[in-house]
Amino acid sequence: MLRRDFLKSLVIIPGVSLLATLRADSSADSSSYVMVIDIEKCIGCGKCVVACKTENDVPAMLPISRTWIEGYSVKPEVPRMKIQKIVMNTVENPFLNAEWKYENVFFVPKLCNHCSVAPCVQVCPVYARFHTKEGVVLVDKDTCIGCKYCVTACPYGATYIHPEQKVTDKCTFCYHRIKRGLKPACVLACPTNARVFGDVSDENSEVYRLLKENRVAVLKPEEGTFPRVFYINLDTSVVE
Amino acid sequence: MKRSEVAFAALLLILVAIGAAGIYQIHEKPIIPIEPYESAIGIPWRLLVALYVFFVVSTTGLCIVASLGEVFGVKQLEPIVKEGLLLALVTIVVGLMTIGLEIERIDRGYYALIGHTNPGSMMFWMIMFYVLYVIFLIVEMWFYFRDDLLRQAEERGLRGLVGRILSLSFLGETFRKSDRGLNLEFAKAIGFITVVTAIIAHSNLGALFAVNYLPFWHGALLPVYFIVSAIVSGAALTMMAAILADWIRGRKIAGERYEALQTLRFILGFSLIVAAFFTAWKIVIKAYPTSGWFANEATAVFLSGEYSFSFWFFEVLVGTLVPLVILASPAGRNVDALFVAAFATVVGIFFLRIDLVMGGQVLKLISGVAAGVSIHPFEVMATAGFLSLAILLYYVLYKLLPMEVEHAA
Repeated sequence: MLRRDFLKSLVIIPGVSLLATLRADSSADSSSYVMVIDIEKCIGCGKCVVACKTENDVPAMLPISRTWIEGYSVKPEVPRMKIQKIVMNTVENPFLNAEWKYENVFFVPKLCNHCSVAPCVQVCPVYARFHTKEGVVLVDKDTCIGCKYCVTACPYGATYIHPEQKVTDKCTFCYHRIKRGLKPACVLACPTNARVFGDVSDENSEVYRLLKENRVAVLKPEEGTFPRVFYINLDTSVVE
Repeated sequence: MKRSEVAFAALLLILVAIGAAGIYQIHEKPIIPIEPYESAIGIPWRLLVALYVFFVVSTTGLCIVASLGEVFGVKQLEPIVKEGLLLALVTIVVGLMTIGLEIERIDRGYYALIGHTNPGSMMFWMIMFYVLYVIFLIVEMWFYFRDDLLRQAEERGLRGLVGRILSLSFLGETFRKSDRGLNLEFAKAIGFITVVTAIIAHSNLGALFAVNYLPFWHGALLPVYFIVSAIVSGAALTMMAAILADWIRGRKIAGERYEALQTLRFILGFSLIVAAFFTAWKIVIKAYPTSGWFANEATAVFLSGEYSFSFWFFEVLVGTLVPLVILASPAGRNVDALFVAAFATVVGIFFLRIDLVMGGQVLKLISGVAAGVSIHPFEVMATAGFLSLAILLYYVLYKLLPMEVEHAA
């Protein structure tokens, strides 16, 4: 090899690899994960709660959970609807032998909304909460001091203190799974496809289609948090 | 030492031990519901956070009241500056201890000061300014106490030893010289920085609550209200400390100390009225129908809900009306009546903190149903322990420091 060629290669190889990294980065930057939940499809079976607790090492019988299901039974009335609410946040399903007061019964699965403007990221004194480039909000469990400010600040009640790890814990969209191309545990466990997860920046994805074809709502839009969890057929009585 | 003093100290020690057991239990078994916020019962910030707020409110108020005498030249308050400063130090130390044992991972607490800080967080600024405040307060006190410490260093026994160590006179001849006027000038200058830091730190604590989405906390005036209630708390505690000290020494309160108490009476009464205005308008505005139904439900917790007894009886009657009547009536010239007023105010402020911290969180926004919040016995044990620790520390330090040395004219 001529010395000139060798010198050229010294310039070209790093240049190409740098371009390759930039391209890889830009493609990763464009992906933007969201979850779309169809209330009409949720049957309140609670498989998602069980799957989540198993996958993410959350105590099964304590009433803390990364995702939970709220069962509503609503009687339309003016000025205020009459609401009965039952929560499933352990592996036991309370809906199976629940006595619903009113006829209109539906289930609302809830989880961390991965807000684009996240109060928990803003208030954490030690920067233990952060956004990934895909928009997922994560907890750095090696930094969290357990002051519970994020628990107070979260408008969705999606975060809690893990009783064994003594740090805050919440839904990560199963970040360890989605980075390998797998679905989050709750999405995988859902028998009716009520939960759909995907990249909204990809126009061929199912979440893109769902968001395009349906009227969707988010929880507490007035908080200005811009959630990444969207609901189809959300009832107005679900105010939080 | 009298027998009654030994019994008193022993009782406090037992209470501190009970508190330690309570803290240990809280951390060992998570019996207190620690649950996701809206999805279940249980609230994240509980009695110990309320106690922390109570302590830091007290320290700020004590610092402000003491600074009035020391820095801002209110001559009438000079006789009670020492009590105020010592009590400010004790309350901030016990307060930081309270919050330190309340957070789950105290071993990482220093992350909030160096390394992992988030300057966008109100809590970061609060921690930063309170740490600075403790440092400034200690330096200020050292200069303020320096002459008396040097005089005490010549005594024999434990007090002499403490005097020699704290005045640094054991280090050599250069540390034994001191210029009283210069020391007080230093104390005054640093005292100004201290009180400014205290006010900034404390308003940050108010902002920490006020930036939250919770309707009872949210609002721009909460930091200002925190400062006002701090002055209430500080004036009442200084009054109590001064009266108690003279009672225990068996001395009749007269002369300049009586004048100081009368000045405190004015400060306490005035700040109580301002604080009452804040509370009244806050409740009215939040409960007003046009404020939205979340705000309405949040205030209903206090007006008729599960915190109504705490609010109407402790906060309004005991904490505001009783002291105001005593302070405004001619009974305020009587020292015993002043003590009753100050004590009632402190009790009221304590329940005000519980109402603010815990009552602010109980509202569950779904259908406006408040969660049943119960205070766990372990929390009560820990609270009793921390309060006793504060009293015990104050008592011991009062004995060891040159609190009673009369100023040379």
